[in-house]
Amino acid sequence: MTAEELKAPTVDDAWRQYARDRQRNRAVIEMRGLGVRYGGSAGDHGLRSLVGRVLGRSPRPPVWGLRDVDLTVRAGECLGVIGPNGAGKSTLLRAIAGLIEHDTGSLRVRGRLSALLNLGVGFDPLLTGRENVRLVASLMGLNPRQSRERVPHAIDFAEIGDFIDAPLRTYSSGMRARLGFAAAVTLVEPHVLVLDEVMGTGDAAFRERSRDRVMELVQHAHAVLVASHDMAWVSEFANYAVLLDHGSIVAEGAPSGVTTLHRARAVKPPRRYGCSACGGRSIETWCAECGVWRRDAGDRLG
Amino acid sequence: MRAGANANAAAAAGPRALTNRSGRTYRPAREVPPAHPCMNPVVAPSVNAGRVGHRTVGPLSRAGLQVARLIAWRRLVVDLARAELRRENARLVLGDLWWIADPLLQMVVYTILVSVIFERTLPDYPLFVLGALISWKAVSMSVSTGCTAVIGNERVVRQLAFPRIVLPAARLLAQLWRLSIALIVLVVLVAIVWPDRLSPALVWLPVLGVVQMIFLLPLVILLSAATVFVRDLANVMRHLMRLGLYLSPVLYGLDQFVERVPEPVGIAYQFNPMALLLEAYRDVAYHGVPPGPSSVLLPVGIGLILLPLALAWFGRVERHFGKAL
Repeated sequence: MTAEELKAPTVDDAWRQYARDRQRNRAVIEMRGLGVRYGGSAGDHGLRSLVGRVLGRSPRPPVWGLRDVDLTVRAGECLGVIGPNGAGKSTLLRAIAGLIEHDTGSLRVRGRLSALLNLGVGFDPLLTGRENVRLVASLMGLNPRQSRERVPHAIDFAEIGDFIDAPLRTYSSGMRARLGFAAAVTLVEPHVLVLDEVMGTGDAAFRERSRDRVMELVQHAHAVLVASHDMAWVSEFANYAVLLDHGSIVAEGAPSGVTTLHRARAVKPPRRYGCSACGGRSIETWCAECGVWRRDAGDRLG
Repeated sequence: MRAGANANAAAAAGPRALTNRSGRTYRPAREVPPAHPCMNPVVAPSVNAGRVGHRTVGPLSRAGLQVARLIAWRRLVVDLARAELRRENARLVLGDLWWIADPLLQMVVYTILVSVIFERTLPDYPLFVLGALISWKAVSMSVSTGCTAVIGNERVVRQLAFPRIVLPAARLLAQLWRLSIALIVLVVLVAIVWPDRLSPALVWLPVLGVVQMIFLLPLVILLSAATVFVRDLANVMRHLMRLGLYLSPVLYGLDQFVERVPEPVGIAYQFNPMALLLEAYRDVAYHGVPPGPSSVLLPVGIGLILLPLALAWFGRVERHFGKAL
């Protein structure tokens, strides 16, 4: 046995292996040159632009939510989508979920897809919790038998006790979020799972259970897409990551590398403060070298 | 298990396991099937109506697609309608009793208005006005709730990919339920208060209710989609319905209207399907005679001609809902 074989595989080895093997897996989501445009001529449908033109409003220039995005998600992948606010993460996931129409390029999804966007807000405050869960079950396309089977699971998962038969308006916001999350993760077992920032609901115990449940879905799904600001989650559980900014992909590949890049981009270079007393470079509030308290930045010191 | 160490074994054992940096292993449950049944465009919960794969289909097949979706998702239509009815009366003391109280109170109001203030007298005027009033109420409620069918469910539409055509259909179904209750109230009232006006013609009432809904369906579908892009339409329709109440033969008979206006207007007015329908309700409930054939066939005909057009247009624009909302 050579020394090479005795060496324990590192994360990089595993990743290189995966990057090689990746090509063999079937593409579950394929997008080529995907572009989504907001406003401008995209939002105009006859009458609206006509009325606007008559009133003398100049059409707003279009804003590209996504531009020229090429992405392939393969079977068995858990894709982490990261990026700053407004980078196009939600737009990407909503386009994949079929909730908005893309304007350019092509998009293809194979298999049953389920999107867990923020479901709690879709609930009706006047109906009871149970009625709401039933309604969401039919909105997700469950037939009566499936609905009878799975609605009790969702209610058990939410663990909100007798409140389930009270109108939703009497719920606390935490209970509402729990019910929304429970309905989203227990009613369907999708092939392609799309999660948009749904990790952080409820108290610690509920977060633990919801995390377990999401991992269970991740293991059964063929492909998972997660948009998250939780870099720890992405670098631990995703096996492929994409960094979006201004609607285009900035980087993709191994999650550890992509999250590091994102952090590096997100952190502004620290402002260099100088101490006018000694010319020191301390960024503390107290200049250690000359013992002067800094009231404000830079040369107003001392 | 480390992917790097067991790459060969994993490749041989079918679906490949993946390992992340903390050593957790994921294994796809099975290979992706070539095409899942839910890829069938009819039942696929996708907003890309009018597109089968990459092909764009024509207006007739687009209308057919919408019909197929309505049939496939009929349970959702019923559930949404039921939820809407529950929601309406959820916080009221009388609750569902309002379905009965509403038409009765309206009848009292208009009877007082017309017989006391305008000093018009007709035998059994409350009954004269009630039949047409119930029908008109169903029309105005259908139009106003139909306008908000999609924008009122904005949050659900933004989150879940179900066929959007179920929304206007559910609103109309809820109105059909209210109309049926009101018609039952009408029959019971006739039996108690005006027993001499009870006639076999009353069996026409459910037929007229269905005819009315067939006539309204394309309108509601068109309005629900149009309101997404021009939200002002909901306000405009509210005022139009107000005007319609006084322009339609609700508080007066059709012949009373026709003899007062210039002849061409009167003749044109007799081809107004809504006026014919209201007059048919009155024939059945007040005069005790079956409705004329034109008052049933004309609304049904117009409804059935408009329906494919409305469905096709809805199918064409529904994929823009996501961005327009």
